[in-house]
Amino acid sequence: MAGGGGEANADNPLPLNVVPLIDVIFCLLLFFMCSFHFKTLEGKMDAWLPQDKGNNKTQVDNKIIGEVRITLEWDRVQLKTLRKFGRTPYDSDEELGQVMRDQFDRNKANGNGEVPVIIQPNTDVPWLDVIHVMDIVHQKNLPKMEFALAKSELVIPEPH
Amino acid sequence: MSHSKSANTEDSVYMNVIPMVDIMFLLLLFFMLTADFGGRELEEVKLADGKSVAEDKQDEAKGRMNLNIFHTPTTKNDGPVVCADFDADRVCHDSGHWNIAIRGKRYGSDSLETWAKDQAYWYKKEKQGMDDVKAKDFTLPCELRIMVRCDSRAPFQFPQLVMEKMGKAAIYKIEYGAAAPTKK
Repeated sequence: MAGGGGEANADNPLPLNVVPLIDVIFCLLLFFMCSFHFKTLEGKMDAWLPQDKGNNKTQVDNKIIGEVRITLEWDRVQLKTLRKFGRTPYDSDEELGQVMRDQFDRNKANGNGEVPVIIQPNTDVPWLDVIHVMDIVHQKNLPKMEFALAKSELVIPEPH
Repeated sequence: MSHSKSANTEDSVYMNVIPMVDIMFLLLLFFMLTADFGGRELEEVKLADGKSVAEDKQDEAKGRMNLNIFHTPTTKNDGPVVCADFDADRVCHDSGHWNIAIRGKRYGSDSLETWAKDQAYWYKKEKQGMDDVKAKDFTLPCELRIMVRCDSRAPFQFPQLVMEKMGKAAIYKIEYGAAAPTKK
């Protein structure tokens, strides 16, 4: 390659052949360019499991007064998640958040400020919608959140 | 004109490669520094967006285990399974298409529980200073943090299974990965 610095002349008395260097750099550049991908900015949501209510250790108290329970059901016909507080479905995020907040405030006024928001999704509800409800709970500054879980019937086979 | 210097192609045709080498070095440096070598730790998942998502600081990630729930690559991405729903960005209800992996290793239901108990035992013994008997007691809480990175198109039964298995090992500090809102 002419001008690659491989030949001596008056300007460049000490020739340095940069051709192999460029070849190697090209290879490295190609490798890193091909393996490059833009990473999504990741965050997190804490929803710790209760320390004192492990699996099958305590009976669930069905007599919680003013329970804030959101049930999520997957509608196979409309292909969307139905979010219910009690028996009332809520499509709007704002309405769902407000109804949770109102119930929490009523509980707090009655001295039951420790009553958590319980999220009870069906197994076929997309995780996206569960995270969305968790997000609403966080946005409404509701301090405690729990999942109501039935025993999982899912069996994942052992990989070979 | 007769004494004009004859063209010596080797001398006159000259390409100055120095700027090109400079730019290539800069590009190389950029791609090397931004290269993600944590590919085995973090599987390719599309995380759900959340407005209230807390920033995941680097120092908080220390000592935490990442658990990935991800779809098997589809034929669209040169993968082995055909899944029109997943390719169309809809929820995929075929449980055979989903995987649970930690540090590049895939787990089934039973091995996940074994892994959780092993980790809890080790963590309680080494980090929480418990003796052997207490470390094996899975009613005593384990402070190990687990980050569940679940694809937004997965059905809830997968994170549900993870929560159940972690609960059996008394691992209660569960964090859920979500895509943070873009800073303006």
